[in-house]
Amino acid sequence: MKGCKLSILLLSICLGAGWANAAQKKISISSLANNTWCGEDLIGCSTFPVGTKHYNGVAYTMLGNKKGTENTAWFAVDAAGHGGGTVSITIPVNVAKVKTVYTLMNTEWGSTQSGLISITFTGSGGATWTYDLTGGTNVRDYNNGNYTNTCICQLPGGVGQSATINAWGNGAGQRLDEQVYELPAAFATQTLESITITDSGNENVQRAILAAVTVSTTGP
Amino acid sequence: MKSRISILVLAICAGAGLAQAAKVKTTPIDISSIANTTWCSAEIINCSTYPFGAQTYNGIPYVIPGNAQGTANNFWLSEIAAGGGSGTVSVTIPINVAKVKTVYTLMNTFWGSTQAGLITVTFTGSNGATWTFDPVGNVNVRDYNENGNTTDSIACQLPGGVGQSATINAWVNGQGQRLDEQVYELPAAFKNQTLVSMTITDSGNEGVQRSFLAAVTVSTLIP
Repeated sequence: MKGCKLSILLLSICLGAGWANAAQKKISISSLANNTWCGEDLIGCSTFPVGTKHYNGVAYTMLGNKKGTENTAWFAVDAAGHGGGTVSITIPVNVAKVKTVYTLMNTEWGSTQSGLISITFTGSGGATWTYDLTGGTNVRDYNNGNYTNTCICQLPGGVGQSATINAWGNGAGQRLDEQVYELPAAFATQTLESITITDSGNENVQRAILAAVTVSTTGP
Repeated sequence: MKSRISILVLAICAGAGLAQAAKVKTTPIDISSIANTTWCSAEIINCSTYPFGAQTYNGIPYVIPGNAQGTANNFWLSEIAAGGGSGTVSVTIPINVAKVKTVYTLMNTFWGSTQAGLITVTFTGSNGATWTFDPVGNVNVRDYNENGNTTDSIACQLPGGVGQSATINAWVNGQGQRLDEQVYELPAAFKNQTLVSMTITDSGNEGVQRSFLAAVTVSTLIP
């Protein structure tokens, strides 16, 4: 009996180790979404993706439905009532030992001015990390037009770094970009409790759009 | 007997762990024997800023040929292979690594064109698997020098599955020069074979587009 229990224990540990290797978790932001692609009058709105999608090997839940009646993303411009001022959202995460956070974020309009968007990660044991996203480097206009059309186009080079690559494009100039955040080492032994996005842009300057969040206990 | 079962389970577990560890295998390929010029001999703009030796980009280790004195060749440049003129040139890089799932290259071009068919990359397996991909300017490959006149964009993605390729940036010097990383996710047929070699064929021309290759790394993992 002891041998049997030991075998089960060892098998559990073994399976657990295997399970931990595939630790990607999609985070629901449905309670924070405040408009639809077409409600926001995005160019090519009907082409934007809905449901579970994989971009660059990462799984995401894209909000909304085929009828277009469910909100699809958080739009800072709507949170600010289409005016000026700072707005923010806090996304509950509550996943232990997160090493990498992936977001699908773009902007309406776009600016290379720093300090317009920040993202703060908060751990259960006091770890915090705030990263400032800069237009033309970490985030760009959802529409390939007259604002920010470039991104760094790399993966992060180590912990405490972030970089951005493209996730989705519709071939008509609209896109969703993937920000990859490799969290500082302090988060490796804590639970990532939440992510806060703060936008200090303005109408016709830059306003963030957040479409999805996924976390992973492995590196990028 | 019960103890034997435990040992067996432990062995399976350890084996699985070992297999997992063995999977984490990325192998930089030495291309020094096919490198035919140096950054500065090729008159690369800001050539002295270009990297050589062991480097890591996007989490992938590379070995770029060369030395600190600048006397050892750094890369294969198809323009040199073509004698500065027109015509098709190619280079075959021996690899000989089993169960490769992903190949990473550092490739850019002199000049740049969006015309398809100017560059091909062919992967050859030990048991008949072959895959030829056509890197296209402004999608898979771009001018090493950002100047607004040739090719300045890339897909900026990782491949979406087997038999696909995509490109992200690897290195920049902050002065407009760069190296890009092409990521090739090989077709499934390669997973049970040894990747024997890869062949790069360039059919460009002076003033149009000529590719260069600075490094190759293979991995038994997906991107």
